[in-house]
Amino acid sequence: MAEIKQVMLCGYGGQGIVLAGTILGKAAFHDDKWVSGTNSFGAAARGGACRAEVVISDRPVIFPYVIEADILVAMYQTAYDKYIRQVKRDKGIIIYDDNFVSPKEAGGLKYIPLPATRTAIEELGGEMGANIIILSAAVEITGLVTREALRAAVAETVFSGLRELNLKAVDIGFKLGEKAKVKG
Amino acid sequence: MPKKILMAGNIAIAEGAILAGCQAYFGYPITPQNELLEHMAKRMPEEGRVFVQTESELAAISMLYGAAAAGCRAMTSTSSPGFSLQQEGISYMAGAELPAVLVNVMRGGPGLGNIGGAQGDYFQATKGGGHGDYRLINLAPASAQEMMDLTMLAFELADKYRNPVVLLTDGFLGQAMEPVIIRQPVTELPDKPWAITGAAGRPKNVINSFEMEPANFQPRVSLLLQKFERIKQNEVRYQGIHLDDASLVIVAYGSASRSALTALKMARQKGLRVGLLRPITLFPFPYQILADLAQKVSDFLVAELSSGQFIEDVKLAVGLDKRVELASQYGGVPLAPETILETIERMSKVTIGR
Repeated sequence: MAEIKQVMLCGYGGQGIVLAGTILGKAAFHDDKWVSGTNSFGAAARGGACRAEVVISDRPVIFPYVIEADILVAMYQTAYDKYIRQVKRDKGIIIYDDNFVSPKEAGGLKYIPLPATRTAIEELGGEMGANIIILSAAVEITGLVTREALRAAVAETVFSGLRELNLKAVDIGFKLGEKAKVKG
Repeated sequence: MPKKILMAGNIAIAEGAILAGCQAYFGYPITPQNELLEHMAKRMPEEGRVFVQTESELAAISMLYGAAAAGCRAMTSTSSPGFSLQQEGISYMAGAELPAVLVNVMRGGPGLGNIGGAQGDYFQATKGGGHGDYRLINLAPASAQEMMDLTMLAFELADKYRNPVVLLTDGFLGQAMEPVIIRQPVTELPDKPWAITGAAGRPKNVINSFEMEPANFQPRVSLLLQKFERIKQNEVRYQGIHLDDASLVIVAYGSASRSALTALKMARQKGLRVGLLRPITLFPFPYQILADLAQKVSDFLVAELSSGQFIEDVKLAVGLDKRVELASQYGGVPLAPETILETIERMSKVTIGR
């Protein structure tokens, strides 16, 4: 069986969830994987629980949506509450922004808190970039895509005025991810 | 090496239209089709071509009529409620034999419905949602790659038959990002000696769908019907998967076929001999292929994102003595592969006489 990773990113519309999903999809594409990505495209994209789905596989993706997520990246409580049900029972990994999400932990699942928004405020001067920080940390922790591919995807997707800030966010995210890995 | 890019289905349609030499685009925003219009707004002026965001879908279809009559390769795109608004103009275009491409990125209905994907416009698109005796060629892509490829084919077929062609897809495929190999651009467009281009130095051309005297109009309609027969003879397209040893055949198109293929793989792992027939053209519908399959298969399962529309054509093809069951979703909800698998398993347990 070819390996398939189903990833769901969720948060509040405006946090950059859809952008993070697009970047993850492009990064996997750079790694020569087959990819399918879908997003919230309604009013949720501008406030409310918002999600992006990315399916990454060694072979062509037949069903383009997440059936059961291997990895959930959550940036807001209401979105977390809505999408936690779609995480693979007993083996899913949940990576969440500790500023906005406090999960009731269930057995079998792995919960990894990350100070994405706090670090963005401290090191980047605002919440902008928190999405890229948590995405990069998730990549570091799970090995979903290569570091180089993620960096390239950020550079090509983000508009030039914010490219530097977002590439800085990538480095911050990788470091947070490394720390979280050491903690286990 | 051809270039491969990760793009949403809606963008693949837009780029496919540009590659096919689309000279004019007219459209009015509606979700889940918006990325297509948005992309055209940027790309058409870059290519030195015409982009108009119209004041309504009615204006868009009427401008499309004009551009097609002037001999342009032209396109409009919309989603279900907008497609309903365009039906009058579509009938006029079919009557006047005007080639153009109509994209319908279907959403949940009826009424205003919602912005989820659905296939509830099947009857409307394939049987003629406007008035009169006409047919539209209907192409049903099942991936972002096919969004590009079939858009290009749509322009070719429209010109070949002087008939509007519908690219019938839905919000799920429109929104999903997948790798797309960029095709070679079409460099030579066909001559259109019938077009209204200024009659200086030649007899004038007339484009209309009107003839006051019924006895004179009937021959015109006969010519249309002959054209539809030619289309049925020449343009049937489909994909068959594991049909050789199948004892049960799923029939599904577009995004429902993606769920169906996933269910097929699961069923095969359980040792169930399941095949898939995916019509790529919905008009012309692959009746004969299904009729031939029905010579050796008795069980058919239709998977569709509408509440029993597409299944009518399948029943017509395989005959009333075959078992034809339905696994469906509707109203904007995706069809889970498990739903199809459950139906496969239930049908496999209760075999019927051959």
